Amino acid sequence: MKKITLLIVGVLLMAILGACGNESSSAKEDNKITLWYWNRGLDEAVLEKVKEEFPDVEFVAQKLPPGSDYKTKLSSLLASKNSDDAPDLVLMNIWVSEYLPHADKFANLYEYGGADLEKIYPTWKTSQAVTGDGKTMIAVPVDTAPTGFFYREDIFSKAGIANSPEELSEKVSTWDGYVDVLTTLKEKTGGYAVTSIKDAFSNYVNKLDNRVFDENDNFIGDQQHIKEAWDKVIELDEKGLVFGNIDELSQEWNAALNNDEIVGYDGPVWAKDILIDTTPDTAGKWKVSRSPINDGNDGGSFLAVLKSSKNPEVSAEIAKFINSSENQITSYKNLSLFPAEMDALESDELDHNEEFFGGQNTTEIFAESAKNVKEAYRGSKESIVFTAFRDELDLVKVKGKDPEEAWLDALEKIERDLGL
Amino acid sequence: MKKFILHMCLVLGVIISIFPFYWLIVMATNISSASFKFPPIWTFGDQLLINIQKVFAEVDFLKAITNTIFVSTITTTFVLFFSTLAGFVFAKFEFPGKNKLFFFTLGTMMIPAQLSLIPNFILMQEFGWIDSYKALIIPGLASAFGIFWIKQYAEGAIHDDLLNAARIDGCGIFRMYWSVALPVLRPAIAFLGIFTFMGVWNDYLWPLIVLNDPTKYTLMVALANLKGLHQTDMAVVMTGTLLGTVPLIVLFLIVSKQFISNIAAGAIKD
Amino acid sequence: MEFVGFRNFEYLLKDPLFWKSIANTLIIWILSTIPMIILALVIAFLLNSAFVKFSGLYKTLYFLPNVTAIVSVAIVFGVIFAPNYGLINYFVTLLGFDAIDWHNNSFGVKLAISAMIIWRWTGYNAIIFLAGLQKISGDIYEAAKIDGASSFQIFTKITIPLLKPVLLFVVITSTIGGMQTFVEPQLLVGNSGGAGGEGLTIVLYLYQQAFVKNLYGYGSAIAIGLFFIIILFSLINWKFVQRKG
Repeated sequence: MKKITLLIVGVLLMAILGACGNESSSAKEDNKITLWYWNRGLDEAVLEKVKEEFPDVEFVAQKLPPGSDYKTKLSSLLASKNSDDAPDLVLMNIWVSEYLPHADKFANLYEYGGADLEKIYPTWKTSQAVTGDGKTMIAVPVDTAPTGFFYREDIFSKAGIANSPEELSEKVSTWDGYVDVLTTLKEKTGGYAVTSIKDAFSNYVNKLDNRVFDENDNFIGDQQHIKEAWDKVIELDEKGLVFGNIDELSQEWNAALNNDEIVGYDGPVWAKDILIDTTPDTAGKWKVSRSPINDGNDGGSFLAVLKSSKNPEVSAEIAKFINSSENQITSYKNLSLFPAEMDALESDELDHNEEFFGGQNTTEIFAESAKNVKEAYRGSKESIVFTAFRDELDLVKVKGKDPEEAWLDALEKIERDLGL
Repeated sequence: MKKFILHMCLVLGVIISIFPFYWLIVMATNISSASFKFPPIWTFGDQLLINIQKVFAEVDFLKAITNTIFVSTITTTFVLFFSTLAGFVFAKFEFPGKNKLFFFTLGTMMIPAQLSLIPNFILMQEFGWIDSYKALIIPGLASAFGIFWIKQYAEGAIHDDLLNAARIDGCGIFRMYWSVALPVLRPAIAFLGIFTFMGVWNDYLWPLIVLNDPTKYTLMVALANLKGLHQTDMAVVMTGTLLGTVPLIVLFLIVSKQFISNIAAGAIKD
Repeated sequence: MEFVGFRNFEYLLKDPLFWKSIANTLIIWILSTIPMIILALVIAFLLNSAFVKFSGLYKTLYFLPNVTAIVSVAIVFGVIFAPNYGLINYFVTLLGFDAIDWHNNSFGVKLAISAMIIWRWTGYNAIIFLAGLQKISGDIYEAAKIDGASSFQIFTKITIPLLKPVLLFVVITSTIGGMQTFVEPQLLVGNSGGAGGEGLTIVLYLYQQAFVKNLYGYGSAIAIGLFFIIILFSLINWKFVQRKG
């Protein structure tokens, strides 16, 4: 019996060491280029084209789950030294700026024609992947996420607010006009177009040309421009124009949309597909106007080359190829990845009338918005700042905390966290 | 009457227990937008086959399930072997430093997994085990949880008389383990086996971190690829989850019939 | 990376949210563990009684919550405990009461999280107890019955004492698990822990600092604090359960 057990254990051990294989730990072939991306983050049709365009390269694209899981995997990779298993190219999201302190882990694209990229993509986009000193560019733009104001045309016109997107764009172009529109909406229909104070705050900051850090990474979130944003969204709440404290894109949010309680939304272009998926019963009743006050940007990804790559030059070429004008148009058609490239935005091929939006060609709106987004330095520590601001805005909305006290508490918390 | 009330209590418990699973099936059999309705939809739809096709189109389901069975089976076998051996020794033998060693073993359970993620990853990379099942299997071979469980169970279940008798017959430790302890520990082993298997099966974050090659993905990593960054077809995710859960339920039915219920009652008479 | 000495720990001891997360964790632990263990014991005892038929089927059904993948659990509980369009509030308001804000009300959040924990782990613990019960010889019960003992007496005088080592196992693992509560609050209120951090547990706070705010060093300091708390509670459990017998 004893012998049999030992035999079984032995066989299984062999199985582990054998079947798990050593093929993975063998040195990578010199012409192999690996790319990490997340589901729907890059267009697979375009990735296939890479193989034709670079026949000498063995190109492997590895699809990973999206969101924070992807980021955790990337963080683990960058925290380690050994780079034999690391990919050459990695897709990154708007959180690219959080990795700027680790710019030494990435190939500096200025050495591979990065300056040219700045001519064909909007500066507000490329600058998100450039270090504060302006010396290192760590990623190539993929898509952008310009914002627009989604609204229920039937409800807005019944309330006498506006009869066309142009008219509404005009009315919400100033803060007072926006407040008027929200007030009329609430009084005439009981509907809301602002989900929570904290999201209104984030949206507002997304429209500014200064955020919470300057280019030397000094904290400037305690200054007038941010306080003004704070005061304005508090004003919305005090006038009863904020729906509640629910998260955008949550189930609650979906339900509120379906029940005609949230009838407008200042959101990014990718929210289009979410609306289409979650509120099929309201098809044809939505329209998009320009964002209130200013155009903003909420999301959008980048493609970076890791320093450890054996072929940084080819990798950079592949990154540029994937995001060439032509391929960005294909990706937009297949996956609604909104093109970052300015020439692509001009293309007629993007134009089409969308039934869900009552036949409107919404691309026009978002393309115009993309041209007007302001350049703003983000820095690597924004999440610390926004966590504190949003937590305090929660308390204002839910527990009725005094907004001035909340503002001071948020600043105190930020100061302490930034000191860590 | 009393029995009837007790039965009713059990049935009520069952209803609460299976409710989310019922809902899972409801969502897997409807189209995606049905899940956003309020009040929610309660009844089964007719979309199951279509959703299953979508799952199969998006992920290599059969490959992922084969990988998962491979990893789960090997890990479970080793965990059972090491846990029963160590747990039996901790329960029934005295040796210097036993309590300290045991507390140290327990201590490994007290470090939150979220924290050890990056250090463990770096370790695997130093060993050159990234993108290999070694990184999945070997760190999980000895389970503090399993050792603790077997120790607690063995303390009461294995009678010292039996061990003494075996000793007089000239049995060594391994022989005592094999012939005396294992048969008595069967219900405990069945429990540990099913939960270890299930734990490995449902593990997500660690395989995601250490595996890169999509053909090596385990089921949970493969299914996570059904999600999009902003947009997710809920019905398809639910269908994938359902397909991934059914094998575990079947396994549990088999194991519970074979081990937990009947055999134990007769086996442990002194 | 630079060595920051004990700055992280100094900050930790003065951090009100850290202390709040400890308090939250303890409250949730008590709210969930006690009902869970009692329920699991009762279920195991009933399933072990001779009169229950189909015990295999029951076991499988009670086991389902634990086997159901967490993705789907998240979605279902999201619907159940949603404040505005939730299932429970739907009934609460039908009965004429005020809706409960499961995401922001201090006690409501903890209750909802505890309910999720109880739901997921009761059947699991019941099966542990059941395995433990099966090593208790049927003869002992027979003898007790002949002596005229009631079910309740059998339960408290025979079952519980003989089950002690397994009970200790459940109590210690529930303590370790309870101190590391993470998935449930994250699913219910997200990484922020809800308004005012009412649902913020120690590990959720750790996760927020390390992975949301990229303060990995501070996250590690929280983990070390957590480690000491778990050891302390495990020792208390150990002494307490050992003495009880």
